[in-house]
Amino acid sequence: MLSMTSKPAGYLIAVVLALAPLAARADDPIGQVKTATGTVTVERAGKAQPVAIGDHVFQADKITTAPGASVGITFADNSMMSLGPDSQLALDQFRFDSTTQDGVFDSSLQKGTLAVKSGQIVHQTPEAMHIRTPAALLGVRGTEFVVRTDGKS
Amino acid sequence: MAFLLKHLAPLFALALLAGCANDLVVVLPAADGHIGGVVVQHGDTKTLLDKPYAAAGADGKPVAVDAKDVDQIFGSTLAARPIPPKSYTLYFLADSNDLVPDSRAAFEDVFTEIARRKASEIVVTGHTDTMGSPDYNDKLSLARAKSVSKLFTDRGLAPASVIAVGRGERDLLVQTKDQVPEPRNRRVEITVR
Repeated sequence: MLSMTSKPAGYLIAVVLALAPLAARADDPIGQVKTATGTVTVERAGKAQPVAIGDHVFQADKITTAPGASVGITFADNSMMSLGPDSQLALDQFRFDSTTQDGVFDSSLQKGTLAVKSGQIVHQTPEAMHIRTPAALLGVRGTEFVVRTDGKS
Repeated sequence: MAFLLKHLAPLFALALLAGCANDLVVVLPAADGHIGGVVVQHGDTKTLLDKPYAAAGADGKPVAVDAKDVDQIFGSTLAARPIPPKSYTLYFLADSNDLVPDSRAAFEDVFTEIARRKASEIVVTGHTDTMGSPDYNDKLSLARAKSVSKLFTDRGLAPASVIAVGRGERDLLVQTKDQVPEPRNRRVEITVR
């Protein structure tokens, strides 16, 4: 009896151990908030919460600035973004291997204004960073640029 | 049906124009002079912007923009940019964790740079020369980065804000063939961001 119950439990532990490193990676912060003025919120796992300087951001976060507000973030690959007033940015996908500097960075500017400086991901792989707006797709080959969208496609 | 198509088509075209008429992408001058550019893709059309103040709408059509326009439209967005990351290179006495005298000053500069920032992290990146296998050097560079990280946490930095990275022999400061000992390649780079 004991052996019958302990065996599945053993498998379960093995599965949990095997998944643990992946889970930890998905939970890793991808960037840190460096500047913030006015009301800035992040939508994470369906819940909106305020954002302050020093907070970390994660893959799948959606960041919103109120009219008059702004926020600046530095990411794990040293890329930087700042979001102007009345803007919304979704951090759709961020993967970065700090040893090889291989990675992917995809985000969507749903409305407003954004300033971008690319980092190590693009330095290693040009166009591994994309910013989608409702009307266009921007492929970043390594540069500093600004983008505005009115949110219409 | 023909009537509808005939009269609605221009309306749709107008809606498309109006929809993204406000959209704008502008390349800024690069501090280091290097501009890789941005590709604006709209449907099947791709437009490369790779000069300072090269600008386009969402449709990729060029737009005339100067520094004054950028300041007017994006001023508060640019004002929110983080302080750029700053890097220092530290060298160690052979086979030790003791810094060479010049690097001791750089080590102290890191703390000055941290104090300038409201929220900071430091990335400690180890590099090796080409002696040994790439795999071995990945491990060696990470081990060195971790031991140098301790110099910073011992001085009071929160362990969560100190990130150790091993780049192995991927980023040689001095290009050499394989299996060449080169002290200038055995280094640790500190980035404050």
